[in-house]
Amino acid sequence: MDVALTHVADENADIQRVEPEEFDGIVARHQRQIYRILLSMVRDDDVADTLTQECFLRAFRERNSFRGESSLSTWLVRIAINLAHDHNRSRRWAFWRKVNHPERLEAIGAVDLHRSPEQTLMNRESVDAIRTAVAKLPERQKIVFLLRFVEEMSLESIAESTGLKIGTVKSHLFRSVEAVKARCNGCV
Amino acid sequence: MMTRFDDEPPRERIAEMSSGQGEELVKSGELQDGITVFRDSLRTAAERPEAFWTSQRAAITENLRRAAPTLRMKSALIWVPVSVAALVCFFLFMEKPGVPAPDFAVGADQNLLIDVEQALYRDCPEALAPAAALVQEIK
Repeated sequence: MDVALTHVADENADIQRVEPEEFDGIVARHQRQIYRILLSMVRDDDVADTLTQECFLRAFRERNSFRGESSLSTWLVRIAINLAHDHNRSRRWAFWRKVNHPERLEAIGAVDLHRSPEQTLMNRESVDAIRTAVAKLPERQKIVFLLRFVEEMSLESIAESTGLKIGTVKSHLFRSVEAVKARCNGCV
Repeated sequence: MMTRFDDEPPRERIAEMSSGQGEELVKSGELQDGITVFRDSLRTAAERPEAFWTSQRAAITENLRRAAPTLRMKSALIWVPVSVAALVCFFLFMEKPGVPAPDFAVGADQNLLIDVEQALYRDCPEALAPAAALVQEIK
């Protein structure tokens, strides 16, 4: 990555004049986060991959609308959320979501070399319980929960990414935590 | 595009709560560990070999290259109707220079006036001009 590219990839970089070749640096910097968010929202590897590509294509197409008021990352997350939102609303994909098992998103993280098999099993149960609880959350609560606790985004960034007011983000966060806690009562 | 994720107010008025209340709920209980493991599991689940990211970037760049001429053409096409409209307006509102009318009528009138004048000052009708000339010679 050359100096110009590093400059372009800065969080608040002006991407309006970026050419396709230079856009690669921005993709490299953000693709993992965007993919992770999309994967946790759509729960399908291939769809997450496709939507990640679509997210960056859309970002490139609409780069003139990026005014630098938020960070580039927040702006990309917002595009990704809208894509996932559209995807989840689509009837065609709803059918495939039913066909696909949630087990596709395996809790690989439960495998920890520093923990005993018992601990690993407990972790796996905890993760399964939380994952099930999160999956049952309403769409907005789920998004806010994932952005806060998985992506560790600030409340302000979540508000910018989702287009919600910060008060609404707080209330969604509060409700989602309460709901997860209620559903996981005794299992974590 | 970005406003579809609409902002409905919650039924109960709990927006006034402190910013960290949701997180305090997490921190205060045993949910903290569970969420940490959950977060790690999601992050690990989304981990892919470097080849995957390289291939994804290549696909994006390829799509961008393919889309770029189309995008440029689209932006150029936007200017076509604008330019046409501007040209039409220019020609419509441009002050037309005064084009002199053909001078046929003036010429014809002039000839007629000359004929009339000649007829008035002529001694005899034009048809009798040769006879008049003979009379003049005889005289």
